[in-house]
Amino acid sequence: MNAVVRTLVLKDWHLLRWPIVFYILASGVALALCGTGGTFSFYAGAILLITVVISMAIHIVMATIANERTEKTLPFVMSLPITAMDYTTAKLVANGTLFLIPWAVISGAALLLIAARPELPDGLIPWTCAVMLEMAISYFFLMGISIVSESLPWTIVAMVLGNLGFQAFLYYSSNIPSVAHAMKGEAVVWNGEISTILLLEIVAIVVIIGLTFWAQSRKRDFI
Amino acid sequence: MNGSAVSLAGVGKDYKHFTLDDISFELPQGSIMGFIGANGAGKSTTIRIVMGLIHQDRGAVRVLDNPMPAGQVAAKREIGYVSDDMRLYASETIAWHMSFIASIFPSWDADYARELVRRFDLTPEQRIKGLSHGQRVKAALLLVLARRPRLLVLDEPTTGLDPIARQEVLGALIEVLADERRTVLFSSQNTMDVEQISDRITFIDRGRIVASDDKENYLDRWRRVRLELPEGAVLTQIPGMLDVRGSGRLNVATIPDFGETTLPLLQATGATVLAIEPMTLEEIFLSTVKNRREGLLV
Repeated sequence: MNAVVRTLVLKDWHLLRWPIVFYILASGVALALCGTGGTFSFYAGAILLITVVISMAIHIVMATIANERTEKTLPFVMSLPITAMDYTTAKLVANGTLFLIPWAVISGAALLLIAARPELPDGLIPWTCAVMLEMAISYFFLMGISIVSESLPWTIVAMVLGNLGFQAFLYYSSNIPSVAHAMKGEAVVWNGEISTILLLEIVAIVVIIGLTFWAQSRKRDFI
Repeated sequence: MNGSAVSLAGVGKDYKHFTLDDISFELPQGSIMGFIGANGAGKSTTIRIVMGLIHQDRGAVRVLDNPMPAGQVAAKREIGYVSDDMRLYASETIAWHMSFIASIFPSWDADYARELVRRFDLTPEQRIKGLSHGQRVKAALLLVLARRPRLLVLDEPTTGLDPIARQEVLGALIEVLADERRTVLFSSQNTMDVEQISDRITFIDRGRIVASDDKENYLDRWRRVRLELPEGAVLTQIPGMLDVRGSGRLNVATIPDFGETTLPLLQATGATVLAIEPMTLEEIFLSTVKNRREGLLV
């Protein structure tokens, strides 16, 4: 990563510093809800946590990729000594870290909460990992489509597809018999099904990033 | 290093409804070229090809001795680019943008930047969203000028400005350009803007270069001649005469290459020359485009 790309990454971090602080604080509230009170409080906190992560993902992509085109700051960035691939690298690194760092903090806190609260079965931990990774897939899918399509409508389509995919994932993964059974137990079970899901999720993220670079490398017109 | 800052040879780009065709011109080092064309003529496409932002389908482009688009990183280190569709980050201040650019370009001259802030009457602490359009253009110019680039590429920087803001921006630009000899490619659909700044002029229309020459050559050569013909006579065509208008005895002829021999030739037709008038760059541009479209100019 060259110095200009590094500067562009820091620029995106700078531009989004306050929204990221807000999302981390909001996720703290959500986790506090999950960690205190009864069942209602737990579910309210869980829904808020998912909402916060999804909102953060959409906000990052809209602010740093889609808006760069609609607000016409892209010609300013592309007037700098970079290529289209440098721009893509900067966006992937900036957006990747902007999402993954808070996402890792939120995921870690959620897992700690499950482990710490006696009324929550520890068997939820593998499935929660899969759910959080699925959110990361939706994010990278949204980011990749936004970078490659350079289009707000396609970014919105990706948002809708990502959300539908997430809902479908929640339903199907929690209804796999071995996963559903393990979720209710006190033991943390990394059985074949959940391990395969986690592996496929990581592969999906790598493939999405690779496809984004490949599509960008084929472009001949960048503005 | 050859003598051209920008060199385009046979450059073309095909779109579904537009073709940029056989664009060739040279911009010598130290020259200021005005690039004039109507909306959709191909100015911005050509400039984006020069910047490496669009890849040409054919032809060769060299900018500051770098082949484009392959050499765009090296070229862009020494190009200052401002376009009418370029915006700065609305939530940030001018000072933040100055610091951002300074961190990328080692050539950033902080003293000169402060001087430009004063000349352009800008407030570094002001956020971009609070600036007028004219101030935003000045801020964008400040960011490129303080880097002291070897080549300035200005793509319609005055478009959308009200007359006062336009004159302010042009005045500031002329003042800065007078300080130091720079190479500038300045596109506009406003011939008056270009006339104030440029020493070379290139006209583009419908994706093709229709004329390219020194500004003074255009202004020296093009003349509008008012003629009176004898009763019943018809004006005979002389070489290079275009666009004869009028009826009856009074006619107005446009002559793109008025020289010492033109007057005797006109008088030999039996016409009485009433007046020989210089033409503005706008009139020359309009006449060039009209006659090129009608096939009268090649």
